Amino acid sequence: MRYRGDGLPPDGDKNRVFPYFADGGLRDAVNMAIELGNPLLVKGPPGCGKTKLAESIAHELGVPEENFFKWHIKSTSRARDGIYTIDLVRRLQDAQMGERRAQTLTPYIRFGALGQALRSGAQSVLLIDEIDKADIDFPNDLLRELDEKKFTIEELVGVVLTEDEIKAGWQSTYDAQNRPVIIITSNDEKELPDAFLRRCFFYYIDFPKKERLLEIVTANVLDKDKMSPDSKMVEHAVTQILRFREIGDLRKAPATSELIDWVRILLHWEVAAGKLAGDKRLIDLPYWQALFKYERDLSRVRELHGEKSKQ
Amino acid sequence: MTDESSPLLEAFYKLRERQFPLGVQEYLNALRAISRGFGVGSRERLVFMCQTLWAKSPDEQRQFAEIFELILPPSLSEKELSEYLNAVEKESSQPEEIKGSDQHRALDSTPTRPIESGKESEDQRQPEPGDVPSIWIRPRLNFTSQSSPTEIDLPAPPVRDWPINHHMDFIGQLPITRRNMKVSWRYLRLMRRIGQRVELDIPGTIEQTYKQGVMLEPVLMPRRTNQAQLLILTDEGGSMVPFRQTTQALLQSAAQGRLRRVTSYFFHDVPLLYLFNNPLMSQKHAEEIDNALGDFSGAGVLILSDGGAARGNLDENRVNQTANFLKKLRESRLNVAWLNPVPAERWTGTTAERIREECNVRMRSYDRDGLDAAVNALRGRER
Repeated sequence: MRYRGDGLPPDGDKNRVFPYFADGGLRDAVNMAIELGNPLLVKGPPGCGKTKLAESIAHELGVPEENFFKWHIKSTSRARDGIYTIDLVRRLQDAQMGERRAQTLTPYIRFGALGQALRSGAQSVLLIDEIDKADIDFPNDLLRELDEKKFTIEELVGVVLTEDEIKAGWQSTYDAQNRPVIIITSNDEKELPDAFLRRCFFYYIDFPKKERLLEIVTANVLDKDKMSPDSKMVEHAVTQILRFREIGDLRKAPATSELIDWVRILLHWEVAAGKLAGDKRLIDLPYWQALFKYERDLSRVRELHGEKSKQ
Repeated sequence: MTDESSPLLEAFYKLRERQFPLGVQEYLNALRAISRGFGVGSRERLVFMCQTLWAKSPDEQRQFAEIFELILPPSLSEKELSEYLNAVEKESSQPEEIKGSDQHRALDSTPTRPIESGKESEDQRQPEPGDVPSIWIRPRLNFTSQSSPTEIDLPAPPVRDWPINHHMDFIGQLPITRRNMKVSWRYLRLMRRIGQRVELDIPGTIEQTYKQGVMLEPVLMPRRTNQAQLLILTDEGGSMVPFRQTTQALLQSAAQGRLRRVTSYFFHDVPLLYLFNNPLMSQKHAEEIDNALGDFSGAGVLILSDGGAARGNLDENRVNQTANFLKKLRESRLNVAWLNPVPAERWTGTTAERIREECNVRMRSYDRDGLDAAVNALRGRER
């Protein structure tokens, strides 16, 4: 099982390319994580394809949709929710209504993304997205599950399961048959605890160089006739983005995802390549609104360009 | 085990010296990776493999690359390099003797001081061009003056061989490491139940069930979250210039700490009328002091300034102006702490000492203890 980073599925079918390109370093890091079974922590500026990496791994390893688990972390996420939750309120209500199924716990247990990945008998891929959004102790609460690749439903320990439950595969401790490939992304908004970091491998996805950027855009965007877009136009668009990124000191400089959105818009409205060429002021560029997310950044770019036009 | 038989172990110890939180498991991971063909064949591949396994931020990756430059200089000949790489591979084929310690995580928690054997071998090694022992630079950078005599007695390195663009990375040599900062900030807590109602309120639920006669719905309450606020005022320019990297690391770690709000202002020597929201301190960055302090009531204010200790003279005027400013902070009901990057023994007879005495401010030197004490003061607790 090896990740090649070329976007091709295991059978090498060129018609099913997943448009994601991994550099040699990233490829090695992913393969180390697969081989040694540690989670891979991926950091990097927003919009550089951290989340998409997991998708591309699932695609290349031929892991079907139902074995690709995504856990999008929110500030209220708790570690155990990712493993399993128990709807005790529903059980209590059922019990008060005299429902028979309230006699046992299992109908109320729901597995979270990590629980499903560890429970799944087949090879799975798990994405834990934006782990830095969660509470301070969140990553530490996952150590055992990530280390040993197993989890226990504490509430079922010592409980005698019915025959039906055993038949349905219920047990108190689940041990992963196939270690899932675990990709964890972080935007570095908060520091992560050392104990957690120690268990992860680490890779920093940097903003791509120009040639790679051209490849990425071309692979991600198809024009109206489902053909690759005009290469002149893509190149001009990439050049403009790189120009804005040179400014520095922007709160959110346009990244790969903004670039792709922008090129999609340009293609949709069939903007001529010539309109993107040269040292244009921001407001002279078509659909510039797709590029910046903060008023402050916008006024900074305009200020700079304003000065330029006066010279 | 000598260094010749386990070069990877040498790198591993060097990183632990630099407070990288690495344990036996990390070392074994590297051996396992090599035995499966990762990091084999070239210097770049080996460095990359170790970086991926052992460094957890771009910053640490850079530090790691530099440490590796000392152990395995890029200027090595083909033959030396391949000897080294072979030794690494051999190292990975004999991990049996340490496998027993696989589960011992006790060793992992706190990196201890370097193992003696590692140091001796460094002394014995012939200095090579571009080979700058990392130990050599430590005494010059040690703000807390804890350097032991053995470190100073080391032979001087061949300075002329330093590459012109040699990049000096002192991050690992800060008086307080980033990891320590991270730990200290965790103590700056003011827990309050605020925000979305997501946590089950058991007494509330029982109370409601009792009133309604049947449990219809659980009662929820907001989770306890850290509501501590921190205002950092950094002295910029002049005598503070040499400490910029030190203070910036602290600002950065505070911003990443899990506080409700961290705001940073800058000033030069003493804030008189304005605070600046950018270290450039131009006019457009200025805010009136009262405005800047406006809605921070009850928060902690951390002042990062040498208080005139770096210049070493006594400026009564500055003492008075500082006293006035500190009075203003206290009137705004702020908890004040002061960290001074100049070591305490150099405050004697300077403006800093007078400020500390006259203004009754808890000024501490910038080290681990000082930061812990400052965090206590910021929470409004005496020590």
